[in-house]
Amino acid sequence: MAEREQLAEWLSATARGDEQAFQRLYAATSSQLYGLLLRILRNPERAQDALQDAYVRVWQKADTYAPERGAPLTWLLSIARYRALDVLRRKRPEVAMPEEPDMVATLLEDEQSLSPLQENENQQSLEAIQVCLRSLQPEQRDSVLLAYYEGLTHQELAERLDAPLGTVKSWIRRGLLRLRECLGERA
Amino acid sequence: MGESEQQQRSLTAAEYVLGTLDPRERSRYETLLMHDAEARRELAYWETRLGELGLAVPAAEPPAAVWDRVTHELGLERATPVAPSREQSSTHNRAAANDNSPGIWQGLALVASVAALVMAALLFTGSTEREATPDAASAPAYASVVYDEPTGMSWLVTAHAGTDKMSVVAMGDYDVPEGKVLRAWLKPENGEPVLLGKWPNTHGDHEMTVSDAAAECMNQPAKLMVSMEDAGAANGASTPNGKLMWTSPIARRTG
Repeated sequence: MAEREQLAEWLSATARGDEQAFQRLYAATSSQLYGLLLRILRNPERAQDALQDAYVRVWQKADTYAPERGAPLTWLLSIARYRALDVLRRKRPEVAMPEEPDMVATLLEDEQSLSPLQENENQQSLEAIQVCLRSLQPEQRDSVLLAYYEGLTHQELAERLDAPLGTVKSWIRRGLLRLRECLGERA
Repeated sequence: MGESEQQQRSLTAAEYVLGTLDPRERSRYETLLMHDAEARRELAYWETRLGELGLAVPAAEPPAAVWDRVTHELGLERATPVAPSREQSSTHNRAAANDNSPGIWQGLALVASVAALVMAALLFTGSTEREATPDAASAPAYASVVYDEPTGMSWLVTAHAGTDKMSVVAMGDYDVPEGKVLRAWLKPENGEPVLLGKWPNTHGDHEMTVSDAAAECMNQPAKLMVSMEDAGAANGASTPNGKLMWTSPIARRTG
């Protein structure tokens, strides 16, 4: 059975209250969610708190997952990322800024960064967004990626990229519109 | 709807997912989501597409304690431990067994080993073979395995609905200090422990009588608990006061 189908099956069983399926889902996906949470929060303790919140949400909201909403793993990653954003909003004054702004952009170029478990299953979908991101202007791409991987607000992006707030907002919006267009063309 | 409005809808969804909306915009959008199916579809689109960016981040194994915290918060039984965390879970199990705090009976979530569940499954298989009549075969059956990790001592427990007997097979002898006695309890998921009776500590087959109150507990998700009590304490004590020794989930077979 394909990984995606297996995860969807466990999610479906979790929605019916199957604790063993939930445990298997956790075992198969928690490292990917934790990796993302560490990337965004840069603090293991907060990442672990957010991971806990995320899986509590997964247990409670598993019945809202529908296959047409995309791969189960990306759905789970979205839940985890929303938890990370909540943590950042509460803790924002304490968040330390990373020292390497270019690190984010290079993530998408690193083909080795996918975990072996997810590699085959998700390579194709990741490839599409990688290609489309490369079609953006560099400042548009950096703005979108910094917002995604570090949860930066417009204001924080403006400070990081040393650009006026209005300009950064425009980069994000134009970048997203171009991304939407490109992804639509590839669908 | 004009294209610019569509674009605006899409942008708001994307920025909501990215997290760049300000609090007021975010709140307004969340209100819109409650009654606008198109907005929800667009949001789902961006959650999926931007969610794919998360796949590019290297995976990292979280500490086993996170899973413990998840199951504890949700009040789950934890049928099997997460593979990387087995060792730590066992440690947690032992630590809990040595805790005299009364609070330990509340929301306790201990792990049954994989072996214990396999044994429970075998017990079920065995009981199905023994039950010749369709009525008996379809009656609920219960199984649990109590396991003392330090000594390797275990007890196999089986029971069937409609009878007031519970079979306990002790796989060895367990030393109980003088003046102490082991007592078994059933702890429903949302309720206080109910006394089952004296727990056998000598090798061999034993039978315990299941009270009506205990039988009632077994019809709902419940754990089997064994505590070390003062031998002089009244048999009818309504709650365990001594040290909690072991906890095991009760597997239930129906049909």
